[in-house]
Amino acid sequence: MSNVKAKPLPQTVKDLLANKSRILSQAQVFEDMGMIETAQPLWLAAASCEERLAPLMESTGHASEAALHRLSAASCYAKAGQLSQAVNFCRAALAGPLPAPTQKEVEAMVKRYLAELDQVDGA
Amino acid sequence: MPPPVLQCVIEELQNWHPRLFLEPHIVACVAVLSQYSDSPAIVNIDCHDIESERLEGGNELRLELSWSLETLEKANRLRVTIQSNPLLEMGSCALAFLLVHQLLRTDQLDVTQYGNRADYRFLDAQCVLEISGTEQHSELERRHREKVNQALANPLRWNAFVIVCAFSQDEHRIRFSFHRNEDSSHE
Repeated sequence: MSNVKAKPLPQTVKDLLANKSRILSQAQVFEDMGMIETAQPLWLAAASCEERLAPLMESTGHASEAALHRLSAASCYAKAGQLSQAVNFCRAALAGPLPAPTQKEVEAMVKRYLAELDQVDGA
Repeated sequence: MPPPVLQCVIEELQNWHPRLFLEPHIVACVAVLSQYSDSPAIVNIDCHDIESERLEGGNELRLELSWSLETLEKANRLRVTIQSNPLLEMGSCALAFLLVHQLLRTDQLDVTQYGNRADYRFLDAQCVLEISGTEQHSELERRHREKVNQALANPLRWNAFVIVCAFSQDEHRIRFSFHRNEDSSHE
């Protein structure tokens, strides 16, 4: 590929990434197909994988990617309806090295999740 | 000189990307293509800054994509159960993943969720992949520009591959390009 080579990753991390990508792509497909309930446990499983991946990426010197996995965990938790977890992971991601426009997007995500959380609590 | 020809069977895609769940994308791709053409469908591919021996030094490729009767039957069923936009996006993803395997020779794709959208990045290069599809041929240029901007604004500020598919009665065309990120700060 006409590109900058990525830093190598340990095999355990590669395996976890592969497993997570398969689960996450399944969740995305089921949601696209309107099979929300089928997608639900897959979103949770994907979130859990992303949660484990973030510190592993950090410890291997991939700090930006760690933030990305925390964002993905947040998004997956939100899809699964676990909005408190989603907010926590957004905030954890914001502590990482994200470019300014992404930080703004993530701050907007936090606001949206908190508003949804308020609605759920108020119901 | 006519562009080189690449002959593929869409059902092989799942074997090429074992880390992704692609069966529905394969069926969606046939659901979109079979509205316009019988198997094999001809897809014209315009490449920009893509290094691949498949291109034989040029920038164009002619893809001849075939599918089985069984997949066609599944596609006919899928078309009535799923809305046209996700069908188009999933079908475009199938073609994009096919090109990634055939031209870039990698299956090292990671998928993450960012808000409501799926993001793809390569694990063997500091690069993201942006995919889109349209059934308006006149939209191809504009959509491609939009996706290049979106891809280069990725949170990692990595380089980007962009693949936009246009399906129509007249022809199917794909724009496949590579873009360097000027404010890239590789870790």
